[in-house]
Amino acid sequence: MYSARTRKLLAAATLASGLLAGMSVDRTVVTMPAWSQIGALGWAAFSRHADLGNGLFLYPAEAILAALLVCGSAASLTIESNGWARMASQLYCAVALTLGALLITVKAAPLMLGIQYLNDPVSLQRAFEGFYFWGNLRAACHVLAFIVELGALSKLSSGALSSLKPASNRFETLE
Amino acid sequence: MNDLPLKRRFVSCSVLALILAATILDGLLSGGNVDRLLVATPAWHQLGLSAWAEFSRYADLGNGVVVYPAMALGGTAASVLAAILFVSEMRSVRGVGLPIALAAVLMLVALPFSLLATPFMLSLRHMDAGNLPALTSAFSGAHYWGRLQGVFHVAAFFANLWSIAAFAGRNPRERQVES
Repeated sequence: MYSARTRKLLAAATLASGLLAGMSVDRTVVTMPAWSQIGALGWAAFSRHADLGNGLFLYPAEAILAALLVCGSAASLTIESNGWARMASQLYCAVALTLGALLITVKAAPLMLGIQYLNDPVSLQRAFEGFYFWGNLRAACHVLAFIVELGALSKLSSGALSSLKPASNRFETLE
Repeated sequence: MNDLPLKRRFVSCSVLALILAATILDGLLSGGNVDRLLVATPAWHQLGLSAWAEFSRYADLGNGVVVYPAMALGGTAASVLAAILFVSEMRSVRGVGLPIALAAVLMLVALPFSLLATPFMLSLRHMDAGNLPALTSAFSGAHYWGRLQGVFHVAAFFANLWSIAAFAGRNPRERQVES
């Protein structure tokens, strides 16, 4: 058994994780390869206005919100779970991945914050490579956490779908 | 008669698999759109149009040429197929069918916005960095239609999750809490 509270918490956690995963994938697959062609100087100039602009509030807020929601849904399921041990372990995995991404941010954030004070191309190139590396690892954690949470949410749905009955009246939608 | 539950199970599994695929693709698209809307675009306003044009040639016209259309078309196809399968089986868009149909409609509505944004982005390929009026027009067009497309992608992602959560709400194993 699980409650509607667990379901809603898990849906909200999946929403936040999905947005985080999308941001990370965009960065890993499109943005960072483009910056590696343009160069670290261009990346630093952009990052000073983006990551150190609105990103300074949005990224931490979203990461912390996603972590709180997934921890909340795991705790909620643990308190009320009865025969849902497998799903609880799935949620613990999502918690580990989300917290892992936060730990990676502890490594990546100083590199980003440091570019405020860097001007020489060699140091900026080193910061770019470090941020790219940690960013890819963090993206993997975000995508996996999103998929695991989505899997857990769909596990709640399985069984419910086949129990639905078709509408008796073909024109029910028009009524 | 005996194979009716089997058919129902097959259809329900297919609907769920399609909704999951759509949720993953729409979620990834939405995250990129939110990032562009709230973080990247304000930064480009400060950095200038020629920096934006140079970046876009390597990003949106680099890997983005494959990644963005693949995710948008894949997400739309999965959402629409899920809606068609669900409605053809249940013959209704009431209840849990509503968010499934809504996600499909939102993704379909987003497609023309993507098509309207594309020529502005493609025009950057042969644009001179000093051609400020053309750069301004490309930036405004790409971001205007891109913003609209982004809003619909985020709404579709929300509807995808609503569908899965609505199905879970029908699960007989969900504990009914006293109101």
